[in-house]
Amino acid sequence: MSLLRTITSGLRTLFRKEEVERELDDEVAQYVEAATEAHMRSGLSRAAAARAARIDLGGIETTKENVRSSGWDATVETLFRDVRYAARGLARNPGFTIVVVLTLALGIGVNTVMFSVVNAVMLRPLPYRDAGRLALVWTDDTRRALHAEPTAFATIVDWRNENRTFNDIAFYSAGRATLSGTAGRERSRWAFVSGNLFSVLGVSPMRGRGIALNDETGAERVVVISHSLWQRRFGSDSSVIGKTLEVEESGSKDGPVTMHIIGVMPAGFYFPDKQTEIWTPATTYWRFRRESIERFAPWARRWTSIGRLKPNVAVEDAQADLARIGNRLSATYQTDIPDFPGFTPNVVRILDAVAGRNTQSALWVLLGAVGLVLLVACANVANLLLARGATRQQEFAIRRAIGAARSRIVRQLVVESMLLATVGGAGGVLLAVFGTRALAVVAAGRVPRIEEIAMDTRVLLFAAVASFVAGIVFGVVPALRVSRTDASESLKAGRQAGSVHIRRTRGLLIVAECALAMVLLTGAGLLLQSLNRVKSIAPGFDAANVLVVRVEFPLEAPPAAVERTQTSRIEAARARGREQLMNEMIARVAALPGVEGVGISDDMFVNGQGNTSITIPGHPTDSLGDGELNDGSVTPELFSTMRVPLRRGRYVTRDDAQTKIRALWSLVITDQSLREKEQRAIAEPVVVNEAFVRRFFPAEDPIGKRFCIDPTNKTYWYVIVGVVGDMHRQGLEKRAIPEYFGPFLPTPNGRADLIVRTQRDPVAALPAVRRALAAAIPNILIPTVSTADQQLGNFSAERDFQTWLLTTFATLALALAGVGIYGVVHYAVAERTREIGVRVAFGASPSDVMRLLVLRGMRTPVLGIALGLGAALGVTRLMSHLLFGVGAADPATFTMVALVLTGVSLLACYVPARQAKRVDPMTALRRE
Amino acid sequence: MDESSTDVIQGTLDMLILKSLSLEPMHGFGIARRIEQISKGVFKVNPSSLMLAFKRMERSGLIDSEWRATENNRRGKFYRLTEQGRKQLKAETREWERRTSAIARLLEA
Repeated sequence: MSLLRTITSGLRTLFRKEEVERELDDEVAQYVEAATEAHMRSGLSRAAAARAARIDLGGIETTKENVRSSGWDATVETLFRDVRYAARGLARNPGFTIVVVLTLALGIGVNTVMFSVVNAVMLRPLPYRDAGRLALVWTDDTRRALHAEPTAFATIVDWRNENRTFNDIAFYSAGRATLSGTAGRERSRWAFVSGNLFSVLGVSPMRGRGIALNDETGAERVVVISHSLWQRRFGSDSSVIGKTLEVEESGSKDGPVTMHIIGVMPAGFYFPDKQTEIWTPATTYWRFRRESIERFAPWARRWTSIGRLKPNVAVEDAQADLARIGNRLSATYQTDIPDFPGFTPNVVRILDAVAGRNTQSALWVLLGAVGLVLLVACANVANLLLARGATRQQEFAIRRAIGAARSRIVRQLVVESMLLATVGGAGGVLLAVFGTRALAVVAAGRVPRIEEIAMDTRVLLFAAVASFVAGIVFGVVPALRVSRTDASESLKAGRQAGSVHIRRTRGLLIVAECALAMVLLTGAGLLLQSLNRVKSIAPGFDAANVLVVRVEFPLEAPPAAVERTQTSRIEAARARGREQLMNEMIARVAALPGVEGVGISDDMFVNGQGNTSITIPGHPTDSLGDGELNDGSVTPELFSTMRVPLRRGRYVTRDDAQTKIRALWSLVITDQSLREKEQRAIAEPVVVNEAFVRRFFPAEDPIGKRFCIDPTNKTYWYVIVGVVGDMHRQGLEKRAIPEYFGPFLPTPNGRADLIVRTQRDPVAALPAVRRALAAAIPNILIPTVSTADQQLGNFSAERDFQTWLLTTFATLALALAGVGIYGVVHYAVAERTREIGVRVAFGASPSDVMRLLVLRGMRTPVLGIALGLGAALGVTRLMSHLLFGVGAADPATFTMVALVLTGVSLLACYVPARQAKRVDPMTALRRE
Repeated sequence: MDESSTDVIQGTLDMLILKSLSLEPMHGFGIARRIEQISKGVFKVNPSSLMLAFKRMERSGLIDSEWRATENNRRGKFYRLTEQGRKQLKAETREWERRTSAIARLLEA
């Protein structure tokens, strides 16, 4: 009740000021009147009574003022007055105000942009209910350091039934899908999901229904489609439920399958990645029944699990729980398949899977760095406030002399700082709006989830808090310093004095700024060095002017019903026919004007997986770690098109392709010794790279040697016919690994990269290439096109982004520090005009004076650089995982950075110090 | 004004105002007068503190005010006790009596 009264009464005072004032007047007047009459009644005359009454009251104005200044409305009133006064003061000094607001806007803006990145990637929840409770479960292959291996259905069922830490576990597998039908043939991605996936994710479609458990055994095949697919292929048709979708199943020999749409997911939903547009029950996968009883075969291990943790269960608990189940399974089931990874699980929070730990920690490092930039900006603003405050000291001294409390002055100065912080913050938000938009474009594809960047409430709240904190940081110290002075000293000394305290504080701020700038510059310098080291690695091939066209060969109709024994002969004949067609296609493209070479590789930039075991007769069996052996297949001209040098032997030829066909469809022999198999088998001719030779044949000539890969199928052999140079196909940061390349054979629905070297701009040749491809193979699909330069660039995209960002921050800090030093020296010159005049009058040359000023000015930056060096040594250790080829304490970088900062500081001192040369001693001495 | 001995402290001023108003509504000077009279001149109320107290107590809901005609047909602001004020007076009186009897016991002991 009283709260309401307080509020209404206060509001009335604020908005009905004259009325309330009149009432106060009246009440006081009435009091005086009543007191006068009381005095008259005790015998005084009217005049004496009136005087006595006034004495009683003790001062009408004082009383009124006391009453007026009580209550919350009075504080608000004072605040408004202070704000208006501060605003007027700032408006009178536009230069100062603009510089401060710009500095703050820059600092806060850059921080807001960086925070919105962190927000989009790490803080904003994924589009699932309570995503923090979701965890992915993979199989962990500890022997080969592969931590995200898919699992067999049978094992997942055991996890699901025996666990104690999950509410439920679902599973899925995503892959390519080709949509066909009246709307045209199109590439997409789909996921086979268990019936409980949608309930584990806690999502429901915006139309129709999601996949449920009974769809797993239902008669018709059902799908749920994504919002984007619904818009694109069905024109956002509101009656899409019940309509059909035709999908070609990869690997299946049947034609496209007709599926019924039962639901549409809302916009913004994605699982497991942004390209997957279709979800269908896993049990309807055509090989599901056959695979579901297998635990060990590689082709049965295709599922990834996702589970919802029980409340209050940590990931580590779930890990231990499933490991326990894994131990039981290991004890119960054994196999002699050597590359079976075991039953050890790897449980990972879903966010850590989307944006890896490295990305997350890099973002935190960048956020810390940008906070340093804001600190430097605040130091600059504090410096400016101190300088301005120094010129107002006389004003404050007078006010204090006539009775103003120090707290009143401090409060006024803090209000001024907050006003600056608010305006600066608003400017920063404006900058951030543009900054985030630019960043979303620039960083697309380099940072996961960056396209979700937006200025939402959390980001705006961050900007507000940052402005507030900045206001306090740069406002409090100057306010205290400026109001502290001994009043009499300032009154005497006059305008130019500037207390020692203020000068010292400004010096300290410069030290701090230079130290911070040093830290940032060192970090940026190390990243730049790393980037340089990466870019200077020779890729092993010539990436300039090379077009990379990803193609997909069309499905073939299944063979007509024939006797079983004839199948392999028919398949071999078909393979020969396909090989012929492919070579005609290559010939067409090679005949185009401006084309210097054409080749095909199955996977030029290794987006697929590597092999894990190799058997070489006469060598001990080697088990390899993740990505330690790659295979590939190429057409004869591929290496020469990519300008990969031939070191020994020869490239593969078209005859080798025929040999491969024979090898693939030769009769399978099982019951012979390894030796016999090796001698009798038709071996596929392959070319290996130098890394392969170094690893497996360090002391012998590899030409003519044979090896096989799949130990369970020891009838398929390879023979080495040539050695080529190493290629960095997985980005320049990864070292070249052993690779072997056989002849390329196109397969129905198979993918490949068509490599085209052009004389000039490769993209200009694209339309002609497309026409040639379509003419040779009408149903060919072209999902993506890029250049070799772009592909190489993609591998270092994230590093590029981080380096560029940190360099921008460091440059900002450097500029701010330079401006700060300039300001201090400039002020010092103005302050010391008289001293300069005296020196010149006594015979010092102008250059002597200038040198003196520069040396004096450099004292604080040098101290700051030294401190910053020490700080940087400690701080850069935090970012050592981001570096490549350069240590966190690299002396060359540190020296360079120190020199740069010293140079900039010298410049910032020199420019204003030059002014000292022009000081005319006469006018200087006369000035005071 | 004699500062040293008889300045009424803020807490008790509120109680004295409430007590004065418990008999009948009054304007500011009348309340000051009554307090002075009943305390036989021991307590002389500082008008400034009085008016501050009025504002405070009105905002807390202990008293209400209205503009009425005074004895001399002038416009005056009259205060009166609210229900809440009445309860507060009772509570404060009880508290005061508790305190003074405790002090009295201490002094006698």
